[in-house]
Amino acid sequence: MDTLQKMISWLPQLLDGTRITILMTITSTCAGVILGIFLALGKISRNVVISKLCSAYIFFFRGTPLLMQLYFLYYAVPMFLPALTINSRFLAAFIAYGLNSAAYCAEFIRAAIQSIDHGQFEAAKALGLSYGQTMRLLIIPQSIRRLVPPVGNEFIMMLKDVSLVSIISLGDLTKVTRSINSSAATPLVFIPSMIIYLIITAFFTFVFNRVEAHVAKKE
Amino acid sequence: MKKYVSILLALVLVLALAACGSSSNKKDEASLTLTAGKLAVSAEIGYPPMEYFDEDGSTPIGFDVEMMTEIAKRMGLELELIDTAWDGIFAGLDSDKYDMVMSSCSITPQRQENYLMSKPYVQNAIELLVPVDSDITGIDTVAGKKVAVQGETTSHDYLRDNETGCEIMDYDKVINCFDELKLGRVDAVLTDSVVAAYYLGDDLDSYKVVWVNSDAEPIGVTFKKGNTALCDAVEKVLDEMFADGTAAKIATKYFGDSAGVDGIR
Repeated sequence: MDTLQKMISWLPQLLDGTRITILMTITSTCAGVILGIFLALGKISRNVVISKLCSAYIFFFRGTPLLMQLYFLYYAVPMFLPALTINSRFLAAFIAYGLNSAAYCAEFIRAAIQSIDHGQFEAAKALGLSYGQTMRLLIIPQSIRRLVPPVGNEFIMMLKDVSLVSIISLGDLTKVTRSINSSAATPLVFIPSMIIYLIITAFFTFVFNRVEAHVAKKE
Repeated sequence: MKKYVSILLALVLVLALAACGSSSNKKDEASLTLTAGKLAVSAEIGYPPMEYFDEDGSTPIGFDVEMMTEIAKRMGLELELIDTAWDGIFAGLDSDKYDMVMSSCSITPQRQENYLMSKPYVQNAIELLVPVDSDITGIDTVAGKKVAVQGETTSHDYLRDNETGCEIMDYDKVINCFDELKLGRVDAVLTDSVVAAYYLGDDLDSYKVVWVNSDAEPIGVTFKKGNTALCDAVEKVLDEMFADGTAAKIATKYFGDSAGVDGIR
């Protein structure tokens, strides 16, 4: 019972960290998906310059570790380019995670767009729709159904990636857990902490399953 | 329904894992160390001038590193240096991951309660570093300011235990504290004097020390509680190294003078 009491006494701090973890996950995944749509459209664009630029961006962010990108943005960039100094830790992490997530989102968004039967493009053209109209009215709404599972997946991966923010002294759930572990000198704190992660994952898995069922019904 | 069962099972799994006892390495009874013939020492390498990597990025150097190399040599053991994150470094002693921690560990009553610590081998205290033009004049004027510390160090403890009114920013590596100070994201850094002297050495015109804790925090070697056999053996070697001037020589090499070790033993 003593153990249980201890775990309960850690809860306020853990929940404080949970708030940062959830906020960061939601905001950066949203940013990633939105930026990812433009990157995906850019990559399949017939304009070679745009296509190559987007490919290079995706290659860079998928080809280097997220931890290093975060470190680079927060510590290294301000040393070379003082104008780009970001003083808010949350903002810096949000930018790093958003940019990184966009690269991954771009790839599965591109796959979703390209999975739409090519005949639809031709039909749209025959009806006199422009490329923008075709994408906006026809292709993207149809790809959305195929996007829900990978976005859910990205979201849950992001939830765990957020634990890297401790290197810039941002108190997410993992950092709070480690602090309690050190100051209370007990690894017991990992148990409530992992349970919190599982609860968040379970909740958002449920939400994404509902969304998936909802868009499937509309089809 | 099935989904809830799987969630429940996952929770049970976590608890079951936690309930499993920690398996510890079997210690060779005849040997003084965990592995016969080897002295496994843990240090958080990245704490100049105490333990850090040479410019090649792979050779550990520093005061502690040379001291432990000499200790192992004199004990006739092969040194195995294990680079460990500071946060949680002492827990590795409990689970027999290494024989001792020699990583600028300040001797504190709290640590002595849970671990066995040697007599001091170098003098140290915590210091407050600020930019030259700062309006911070000491630890009593940091209220409302951001002070950077390395997480779970005695500097971190000091800020948590004393009402200074500052915002505590803790980092995994001490270099990040100095990066933040250079970038102006924090107003001050609280750290060990041995480390402050090293970083100040580069930037004497930009930074100054405005406060030194009056409670000295000498540094000692940390062992698992009850491991007196190894502790005594190391103490004996350390005494020899102080008597024949080896300690002073190593100190001079890294600190510029031997003030930190003079008369400490």
